[in-house]
This record gives sequence, structure tokens and C-alpha cells, in this order.
Amino acid sequence: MTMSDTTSNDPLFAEAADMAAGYDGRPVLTDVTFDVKPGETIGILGPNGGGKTTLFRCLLGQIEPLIGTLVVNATSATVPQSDRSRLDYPVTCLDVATMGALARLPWWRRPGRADRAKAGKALELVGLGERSGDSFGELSGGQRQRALIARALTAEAQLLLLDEPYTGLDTASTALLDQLIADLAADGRSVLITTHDVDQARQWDRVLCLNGSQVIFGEPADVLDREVLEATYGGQIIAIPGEPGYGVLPADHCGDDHDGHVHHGHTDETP
Amino acid sequence: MLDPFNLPYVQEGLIEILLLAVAAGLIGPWIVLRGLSFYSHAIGTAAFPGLVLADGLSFSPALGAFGMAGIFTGLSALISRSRRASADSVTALALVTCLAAGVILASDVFSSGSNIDTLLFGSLLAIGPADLWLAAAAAVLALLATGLFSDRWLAKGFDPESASTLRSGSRWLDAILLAVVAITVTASLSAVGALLVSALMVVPAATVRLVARRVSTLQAGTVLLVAAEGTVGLWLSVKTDAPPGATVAVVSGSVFGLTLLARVFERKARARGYARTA
Amino acid sequence: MIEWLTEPLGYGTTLRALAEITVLGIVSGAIGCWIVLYEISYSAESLAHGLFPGLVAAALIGAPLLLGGAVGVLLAALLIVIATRVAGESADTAIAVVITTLFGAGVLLALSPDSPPGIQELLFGNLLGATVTDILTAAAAGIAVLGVLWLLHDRLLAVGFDRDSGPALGISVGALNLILLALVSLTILVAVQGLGNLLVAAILVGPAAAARQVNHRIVPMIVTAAAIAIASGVAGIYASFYLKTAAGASVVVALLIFYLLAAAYGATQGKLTAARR
Repeated sequence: MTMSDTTSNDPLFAEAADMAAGYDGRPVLTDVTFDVKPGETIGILGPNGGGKTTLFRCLLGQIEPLIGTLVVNATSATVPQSDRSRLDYPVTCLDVATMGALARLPWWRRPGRADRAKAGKALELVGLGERSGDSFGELSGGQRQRALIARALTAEAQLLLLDEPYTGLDTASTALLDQLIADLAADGRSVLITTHDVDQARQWDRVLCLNGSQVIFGEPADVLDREVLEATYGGQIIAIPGEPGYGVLPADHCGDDHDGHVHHGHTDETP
Repeated sequence: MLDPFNLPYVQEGLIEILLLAVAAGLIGPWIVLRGLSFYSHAIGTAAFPGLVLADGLSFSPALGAFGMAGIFTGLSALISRSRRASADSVTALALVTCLAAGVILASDVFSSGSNIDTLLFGSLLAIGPADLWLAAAAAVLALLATGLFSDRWLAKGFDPESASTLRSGSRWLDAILLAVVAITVTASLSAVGALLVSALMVVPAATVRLVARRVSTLQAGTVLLVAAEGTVGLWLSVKTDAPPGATVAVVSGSVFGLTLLARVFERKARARGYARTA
Repeated sequence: MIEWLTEPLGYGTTLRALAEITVLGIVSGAIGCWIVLYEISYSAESLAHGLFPGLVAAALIGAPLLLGGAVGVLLAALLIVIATRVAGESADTAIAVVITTLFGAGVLLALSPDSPPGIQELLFGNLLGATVTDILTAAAAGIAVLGVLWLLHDRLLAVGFDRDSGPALGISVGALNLILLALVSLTILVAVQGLGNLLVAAILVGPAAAARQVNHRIVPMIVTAAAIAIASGVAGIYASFYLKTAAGASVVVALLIFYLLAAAYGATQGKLTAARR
């Protein structure tokens, strides 16, 4: 499904205009202007500390923008990196998916059979139908990601925010995740994915590059040139021969760039 | 008013307190700076059954305490390395079991039940020459260790979980600090008891930290404060017939509270001052 | 053999102690699981120590211990929050300062010449002295605690699993943590009668830590924890009867033994986290 299939009458899921956000009055992210259409996939590129987590927090409603506007017209849910320390938590795959149901229940109601059934369907949607009874910690990295996506689906989120979901995934799991994201978009949900892989970002509808401030927002083919990437990642671009030609070193692995300055990105995003 | 200090056992108590002031005053800041409050309390608590055993079988209490301290430190290192969750719950369970074991030993095995209070909260009457020697040794050790290692202790953070990734040199530094803390805690057991070592080791240092910036002033200040609070606590203990550990705890806690209040008011006054001049 | 089991049951004290420890075991097993999963064992133990002066003060003026304990625990919690916020101390140090001072004050009150003897009961509990009133009070509090835990079960699970997801799921993480601490405090208040405030942490933490080695789902874990707590309680009371040891302390030793058995079992099962990556 491409963007041209959506009619221009569908309301946007989110829209930001000249937005800045941060903590304790100090902005860590500025000049953000973008929009999210229904059924769209948007890749978010940028170094660690560049504002991606802050942007997600704003979209979730956890923090208010300091300047500018941000309108969110959809239920959003975040799919964090599955924390290694939670691997021995006594939950099954189905338990995790069912947690999403809490988003739609008043505080005095517990998830019931119908909610568990919905969670089960969400698990099937992400390809984990057969593993619903397994411990969360027994799942592979890719499967844990998908279980957390199922949680977001049970919450009936229309706007999914995936935080570096491809980290540590093998080729097969990556392909599964690609397909799942495409399926979710085809169903009318929008998915924002943070990644460090520029090539990967080219497959999605649009990209947003953040490095403390917004560098660019647009379709990958149009906007992802060397200049943009250098502005986003500083001197951490290495040219890989072939088409299209640019590899990006993940920010953690970088020390000095060629000028001898150590690139840190912008101010730390402290929670 | 000063007549308690004419009594010989009180004089011994005073010497003990002053020696402990050197040790606790120099090491206390490190306990606070490096987040070892729980550890120091745990060493004291874990020592309790060792003390009961020593009392019942008539061997040196320091030995009993050291033995337990060693066991506890070793087990903690094992537990934290395994990274299996609930490390804190296992430690809590271990400590409580130490207390239970001590109670059983004291009440039912050795029938030394009346000594439980002394062992838990300290006693001036319990100070003997062996305790004074131990306190002196701890003081000397503290002087040496802080003299040699202060800079390096300050330079690195203490994270037992990353111990395996550190260079062996830094691991030794941490081990030395833990050992010196354990020795100082053990030395203070006879005076303040197994449950209230923090009254000497943590509270005064935390108090001085409210006002001192540099490590050197922090250490000097803590030594003086422990000496002062210890002496006042000692005097109170004689006057009220209460265990010294408890009186020192209340004194040091009150001083902390007052210092905190003073700092809050000082900040508010300064803020108002800025507002007026702005 | 049967005589060995039935002889202690002929005594009212034993029966009441068994009833008390059963009630405590069920509640502690349940809430203990959350204490372990939320990693607040140190806070729980500190709260237990912190309410000591409240107990002593209540004993001195003849007020109900439950009331004194409640005031004590509120005071302790309040002081810890103040010390952490205002002093900028790390939580560890703040708790150490507050608890040490409160505990010292409690000892002063308790050992002063005009206080009634029995500080050791407050410290180590008086399980064999449990009255029917104690048991009923514990049962009432237990029902309340279990009720709230049942209602909040899924939310506790969700936030313990992924704290950051709380707001998106409509849960106030701060409020949830506060409720959990309140439930822990209530449990401590009633358990203090049997185990004393030095030993009570064992029954809060031990059974749950043991159950965690054995179970990998939350509901079985809660059930196992309660079972272990009750079993330890019974074992401790029987040991106390035949070996003439202090009841509360014997229960704690039994808890440790169960924990070690569970840990050994858990180790032989191999670590779950070593599974496929």
C-alpha cells in the first residue's frame, strides 16, 4: 500500500509544527515539523541522544512540547527494546499481550476472557499464535519484539512507536519484522521505527532525521543524500561502494570523526 | 555534670569513642560517597550470631564478628555475580536469618538471653582492653588506607555487577575499601551494638556531607562530629542508663535533622536575597 | 509417629500460633511476590525497622500496638521521603539515617527504666502468645490486602514488567507504587505480633524468593510462596515445641532452609536466561 492510496480526507494521526521538547525547561529536540498519515511507515534516523526517545514521549503524551504544537489523533503505544533483565519475569507470551487490554479498561476492571481472546488474536497476527503459552523469557529476541507489538495491538493502538526493534535480530527475524510492519500499515495503522540502518529506512514511506534538531523529513528517495546523513550523524558516515552507497556507523561505536572531535550528539536525554 | 567521666569504665568508653571517631570519621565519608550504607549495616547485623557464639564459647568476639563479616562479604559477592534476580531479597533474607540464629543461640543454646540487648545495642560496661586495641588498630588502618587510597576511591564508581569487567587493580581497590569498612564496623560493635553501627558510620558523615564540599573537609569534619556526638551520647547513656548505641543514634540523628533544617532555611534566605537584588 | 504430630496440637498456644502463622503465611506469600518482583525488599525491611518506636510508644502508653505501628510506619515513610528529597541523599543513605535514628529512639524508650519489660517481644515477636484477637485482626487485614492485590493484579504485573508502559496503559505508576507500599506496611503491622519487627522481613521475602526459583508464572508463584510460608511456619512451631527454641526465630530458620532447597532446585533446572538468544 502506498501513500497515494489514502485519500486526503483521512485525518492525520499526528502532526507537529515547529515543536521543541525537553526536560526541566531545557529543550533537547527542536524544529520538529512532520505529520503522520494513517497506514504510513516512517523511519526515524539519528544518533543516540539525538531526541528520538523524547519524540516518542511527546507522541505518547508523557511530556508536553515546550514550543510549537503537537496534535495526536490516535491511540499510540510504544514497543521498547525488550530489556534483558526482564527475561525471568513470570509472564507468558499471552500475559504480555493481554497487558495491552488495560489501556481500554477503567481502573477497577480486570481483563476478562474477551480481552484474553483479543490478545490471542493479536499474537496470531504477529505470528506468535503457537507460542502464547510460553514464558516470555523463552522467546527469541525477534519473538519478544513481536510479543510487545501484540501488546500494542491489544491496546488498539493505531500509532505504533517501535524503538530500535531490529537490534540484535538475525536475517530471518528481520525479514519477519519487515513483513509485519508492512502488514500493520496495510491494515491502516501507522508505524514509526527508529533505526540506525539507513538502507533499511529506505523501504519505508518517509523518514525523519533527528540530531537534536530536525534535519529533514520526507520520502527517503528524495531526502536521504550524503549531506543529510552527515548532518544527522556528524562525521560518522562511511562510504560503502555500490548503490546507494552510504553506510552509517552506529553512534555507540564511534569515537573521533576525521576532524578529531568526538561526536556526542546533543544533550543527554535524561528521563 | 561532668562526674560521669570520673568513673573508670566511662573513661574507657570515652577512649573507645575517640578512637572510633578517627576510624569511623575517616571511613564514614566513603561509605556515604560510595553507597555502602546497606553494606556496613549488614556487616554489623551479620556479626550478631558470631558475637553470640563467641560469648557462649568464650572466644574473642572480634573473631566471631570477623568470621561472620567474611562469610557475609563472600556470599554477597557470589550472589551479586550470579545476576539471578532478587539479589536484594536474598541478602535481606540472609541478614534476618543471622538475627534469628543469634536469638536462638542466645536464648536457647547458651541461655545468655540477657546479653542480647548488649550485643544488639552496645554497652559501655562491655568495653575491655581487647576492644580498645581493636579500635586503635582500626583507627591506624583507617588513617593508612585513606592516606593511600583516597584519590583512587574517589575516582571510580562502585558497581559490584561490573566487577568482572574491571581491571584487577580496581577490583583490589574496592576489596580494600570493603575490608576496611568491615574492620571499622567490627571495631564499633562493642560500643554501639550490632544493629546501630550506622549511628557512627553513616549518620555523622551524611550530616557533614550536607555542608562540606571537599573530601578533606568531609573527613576532618566527620571525625570531629563523631567524636562530639559520641561523647555526648556516652554522657547521656550514663545519665539515662540507656545503651550507648541508642543514645548516639538519637543524638546523631537529631544533629542531622537540625543541619538539614538549617540548610533549608539558608537556601530559602539566599533565594529571597537573590530575588530582592534582582 | 502420629503422636509426634498430634501432641503439640493439644495445646491452645500451639493451635493459636498455627492459626496465626497460617494467616500470615498466606498474605505474606502473596504480597512477598510483589516485593520481590518490584525489588523493594530493602524498603520493606526498613519499614519494618522504622515502625519500632511506634510500637514501643504504644506499649508505653497502653495504646493498641497496631495503632502505634501504623503511626510509626507513616512517620518512617514520611521522614525517608523528606530526607531523600531535601537532602539530595541517595535513597540508601537516607533510609539508613532515618531508620537508625528511629530505631535508636525506640530502644531508648524501650530500655528506659519505667518502660514495661518485653522489648525482646517487640523485636523478635511472640508467636506463641498470639491471642484470638490477634488472629482475627490479622485475618481482617489479610483479606483487605489480598482483595486489593486481586483487583490490581494485572496492573501490578504490567508495571512490574515494564514500568514505562504504565502511562500508555492508563496506570499511574506513582499511585501503584504507593498502594503497594501501603499494603506492605499493613502486612508488616499484623505480622509484627508474631515475628517481631526484626524478623518479619523473612516471611515477606523468603517464601517469594524461594517460589521464584521454582515457578515461572505469577499465579503459581504466589501459591507456592504461600505454601512455603505456611510450611515454614508449621515447621518452626513444631521445632519450637520439641527443641524449646524461640518460635519466631525457628520459623525464620525454617524459611531459610526452604529457600536453600528451592535455590538448589532452581540451580539444577539450569538458568532460564541461558535459553536461546
